[in-house]
Amino acid sequence: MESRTFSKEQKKGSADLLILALVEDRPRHGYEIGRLIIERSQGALSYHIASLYPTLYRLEDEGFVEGRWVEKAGQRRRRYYRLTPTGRKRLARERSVWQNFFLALDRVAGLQRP
Amino acid sequence: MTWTTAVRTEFARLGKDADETVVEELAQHAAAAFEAARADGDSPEDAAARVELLIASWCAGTSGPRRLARTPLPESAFGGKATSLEFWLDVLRHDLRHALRQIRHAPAFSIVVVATLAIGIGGTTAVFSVVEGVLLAPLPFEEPGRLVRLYQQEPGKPDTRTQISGVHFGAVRDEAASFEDVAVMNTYSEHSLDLVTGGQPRRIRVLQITSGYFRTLRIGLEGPGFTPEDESGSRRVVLSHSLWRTAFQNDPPAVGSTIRLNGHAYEVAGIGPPGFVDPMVGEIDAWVPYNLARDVEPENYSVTMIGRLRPGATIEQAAAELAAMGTSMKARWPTARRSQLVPQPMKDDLVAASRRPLQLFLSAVVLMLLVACVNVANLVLVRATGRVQEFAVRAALGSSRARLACQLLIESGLLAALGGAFGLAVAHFGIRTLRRLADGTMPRLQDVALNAPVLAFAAVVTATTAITFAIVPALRLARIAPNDALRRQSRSATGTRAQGRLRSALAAVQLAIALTLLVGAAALVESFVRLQRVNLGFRTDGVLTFEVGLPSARYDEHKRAAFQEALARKLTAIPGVTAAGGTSRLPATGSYHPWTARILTGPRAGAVLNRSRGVNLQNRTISGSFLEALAIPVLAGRVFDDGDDAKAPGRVVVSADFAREAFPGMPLDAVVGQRIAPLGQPRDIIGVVGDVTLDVYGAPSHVVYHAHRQFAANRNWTLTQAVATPLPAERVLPSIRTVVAAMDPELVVHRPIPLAEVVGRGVARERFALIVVGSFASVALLLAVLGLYGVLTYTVRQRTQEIGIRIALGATAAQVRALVLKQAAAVVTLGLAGGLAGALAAGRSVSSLLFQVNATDGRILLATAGILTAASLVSAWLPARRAARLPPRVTLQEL
Repeated sequence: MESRTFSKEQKKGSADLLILALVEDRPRHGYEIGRLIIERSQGALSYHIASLYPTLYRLEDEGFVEGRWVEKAGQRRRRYYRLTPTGRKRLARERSVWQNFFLALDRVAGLQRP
Repeated sequence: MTWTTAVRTEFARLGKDADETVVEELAQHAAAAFEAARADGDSPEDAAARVELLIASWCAGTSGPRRLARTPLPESAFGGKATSLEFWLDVLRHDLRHALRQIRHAPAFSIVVVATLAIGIGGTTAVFSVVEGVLLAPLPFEEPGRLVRLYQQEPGKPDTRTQISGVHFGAVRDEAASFEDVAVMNTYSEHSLDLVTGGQPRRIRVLQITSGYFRTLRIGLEGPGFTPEDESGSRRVVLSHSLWRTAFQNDPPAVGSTIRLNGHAYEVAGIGPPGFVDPMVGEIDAWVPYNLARDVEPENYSVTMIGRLRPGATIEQAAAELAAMGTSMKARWPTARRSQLVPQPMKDDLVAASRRPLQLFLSAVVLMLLVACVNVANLVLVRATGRVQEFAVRAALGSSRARLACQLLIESGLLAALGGAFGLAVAHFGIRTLRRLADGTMPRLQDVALNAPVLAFAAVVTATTAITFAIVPALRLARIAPNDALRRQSRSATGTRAQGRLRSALAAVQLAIALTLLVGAAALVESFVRLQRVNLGFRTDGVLTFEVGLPSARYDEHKRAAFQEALARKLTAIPGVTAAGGTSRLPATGSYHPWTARILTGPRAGAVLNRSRGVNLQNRTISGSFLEALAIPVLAGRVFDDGDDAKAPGRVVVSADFAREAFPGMPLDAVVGQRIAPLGQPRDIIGVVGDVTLDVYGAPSHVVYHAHRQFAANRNWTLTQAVATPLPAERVLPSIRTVVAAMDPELVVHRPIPLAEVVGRGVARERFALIVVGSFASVALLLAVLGLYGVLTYTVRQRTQEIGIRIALGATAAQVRALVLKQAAAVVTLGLAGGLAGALAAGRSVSSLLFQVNATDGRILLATAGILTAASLVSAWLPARRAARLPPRVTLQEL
C-alpha cells in the first residue's frame, strides 16, 4: 500500500465523504473519527489534527453535522458530532459522485485489472 | 496541568487567539492520545511528553479559527477556584454567551418575558419621572432651599391659611431680618393685557409683582427691572424671553423702548431669561408692577408672598420672628382679623397637593411591576424545571451551587436588561401620556423627562427586577440533588409537588395584588361617576365661553357697559345662538368676590352675612342674558333688563340659597323687593334664581348677581362670555370673531372653550387618577389571569397520565374538569383573601382622591372580587376543557 503517495489534494477532496460516512450511524467525537479513518483505511489515510477539526467545523457551519458536548459521569466531556438530515442528503450525493468517479476511472483506466 | 490548560498555553505561546471549542476539543483529543500512548505501554512521563509534542504540532498547524462558541464553559471553570480577575471575566463571558443562546433558543418565552418586564419597568419609570420632576427635583433657582412662601395663618391651625394683605407685606419687607428679599404677586385673579403688534391684537398673560420678585428668585434680567417706586402702578413691563422673541416680528423692542398694552404706553424695563417659568403660576408673558400703594385695606388678604431667607437663617428663626411681628402688626392694624404670618418651604408648598396622588400612583405602578415580576418568575420557573437535567448533570460534574445560581442570575439579568431597554421606550411614551393627562393638575410638569436620575432609577428597578424574578428559580434549582434528579429523568423531575405548590402560591400572590389594584381603580371609577352626576345647577353642554378684555384707555365705564350689552345682543343674533351674556366668573370654578352683605330688611334685618361654615357668599357681575345662556331658572321676580342701568336704583338678583339664608322662612316671591347691602351699597332684590354650585364637588354657593350696566364703574371687568348654541364650537367661533372684530378690530377673542371643558378641568385630577390607577389595575389583572392560566395549563400537562388513567377508568368529562377547576378555586380563594386584605390596608391611601366613596365599601369589594373571579374562571376553563378532552389512548401512551 502506497499510502504516502496520496496527495494532499486527494485527501482533502475525500475528507467530507469520510467524515460524513463515519457519523452516519451514530454520533462520534473527533478523536474517534480520526482514529477510525486510520484504522479502517489500515493506515493508508490519516488526517492531521490541524485539518481534521477545521473540516469538522466547516461541515458543522454548513449544517451537515451537528456538534454537541456530552457529559457523562466519570468521563471527560466530549464533543460528539452527528449527521443532520441535510448531512444525510449530502452524504448520499457524495457517495454517488464518488461512485460515478470510480466507475469513470475504471472504464478509462481499468482499476479492477489485477 | 490539565490538557485544556496545556492547549491554551500553547496557543497563547504562539500568539493565537483560539476559540474555547477548539481548545476544549483539542484537549479532549490530547487526553485520548495520552490514553492510547499509555495503552501502548509508554510510561506516564513518556506519554505526556509525546502528547505535548503532538499538541505543539496541532497548535502550530491549526489557525485557531475564531468561531462563536457553542458550548458551555469548559469544565475546569466549573467549580474551579477563582484565581484571577481574568478567570472570572472569562466565566462571565461564557455565562453571557450561554444566556444569549438560551434566549435565542426560546424566542416565545423570551418575548413574553421581555414584553412583560418592559411594561412593568416602563410604567414604573414613567411614573417615577413624574415623581422626580414634581416632588423630588429641586426648584430650578439658585439655592432653592432658601426660598419660602408666606401665608396668613392662625397659630397652630394650618387649615386657616390664606393669602396675605399688602400692608402686612410692607411691614415684613421693611422690618423682618430673616429675609434677604421678599416679594408679592397678585395671583388672586388672572390678569391679561392686549398687545397689538403689526395690527394684530393678542392677549398676553401678565403677572403683577413687586420690585423684589426677580431678586428673590435670583433671576437675572436684561435691563434694570422694577424699583419700589414702580409699585404705585407705573406703566413699566418686563417681557418674557419668548414673548420678546416671538411677538414683535423681526423688531423686538429694546430695554427702555415703549410698547402698547391695552392702549397704554409701557416702558420695557427688562427682558426675562430664556426658559424662566414662574414657580407658582407657570408660563407668564409679561410682568408689570403691582400697585402696592393702592392696597391699603388690612383685611384684603389677596396677595401671594414669597421670600428668600438670609444666608444662615433657618425657617424656624423666620417663623419666630414673624410670630413676634404678628403682635406689633395686630396693634398697628387692629381692623385686620388676622396678623400672623408663617413661612413654608416653597417646594413643599408647591408640591404638597401632588404628594398624595403621586404616592398613590407610585404604589400602584410598583404593585403592577410586582405582578409582572411574579409572572416572569413563574415563567422562568417553568423553563428552569425543564432544565433540571442540565443542571443536575452539571452539579454531578462538580459545579458549585453558587455557579449554577450565578448562571441563572445572568440569564435573568440579560432578560431584565432587554426588558429595561424596551421599558425605556415604554417610559418615553408613558411620560408623554402622563404629562398630557396631568396637565393642570400638578405643578412643574414641564421638568418631567427621562433625565439622569430617572435613568438611574430605571437601572435600579431593572436590576432589582432581575434579582426578584430569578431568586426563586435559582434557589429551587440550586437545591437539586443531582443523583435524584438524574434517576427520575426529566419529566418526572419537573413536576415535584413542592414546585407545583410554589407556582400556585405565586399565582395567588398575583391575583391578590391585582385585586388590591382593582379595588382602588373601582373606587376611583365610582367616585368619578358620582362627580359626573353632581347637579351643578346649570347646563354645561352647548355653551361656548370666551373672554374679551376692554382697554381702559379707550373704554370708560359707560362705553364698557354699553359694549357688554351690545356684544351680548349681537352674539344672540348669530344664527343658531339662543342666548349670550357675560359673567365675572363662571359657576363651579371656585370662589370669587366673597364680599359680605348686610341684610337691610326682613327677619334678619341688620345682620351681616359673612362667608362662614356652610355659607359660601359669592358675588357675580353679569351682562346680557347670561342666566338664560346657562339655563339657570328664574324662581321668582325677574332678571336684569335694559332698564337696570347706571341711572336706575341699585338692583340685584340672588340665588335661592342666598334668599333662604338671608330671609329665613320667607317664600321666594316675598324675597323679591327685600333689600340688602353688598359692599355697603344698598340694593333692591328684583329676582331669585336657581342655585349653582361653588365647585365641581357640589359645594353650595350663596350668590348675589350684579348687573354689569350698574356695576361697570366698580372696575374694568373682564367678563367671560357664555354663548348658548347647539352648534359645534368651530361652526360658531368664526361668527363670534366677526362680531367682535366688527365692534373693535383691536379686541381679542381670548381662550374660546366649551363650558363643559372649563368645568371638566375641575375634575381633571380625578380623571387623571382614574386613568393611571385604572390602567395599572387592568394590566395587573391581565397578567395575573395569564399567570393563573399558565399554572393550570402546566398542571394539566403534568398530570396527563393521571388524567388518562382516570378517563380510562371511567371518569366523566365533568369530573376531569372539576379536577382542574378545584385547583383553580384554591388559588383564586387565596388570591381573593390576600387581595381583600391588601385592599383594606391600602384603602386609606386612595381616600384623599375619592368623592363620596369609601374605598373599602362592601359593594366595591364585592364587585371587584366578582370581576377577578369571573376572569379567573375564564382562564381556568380553557385548561379544564382541554384536560377533559384528552383522548385516553394518547395520555396512556405517554406513560
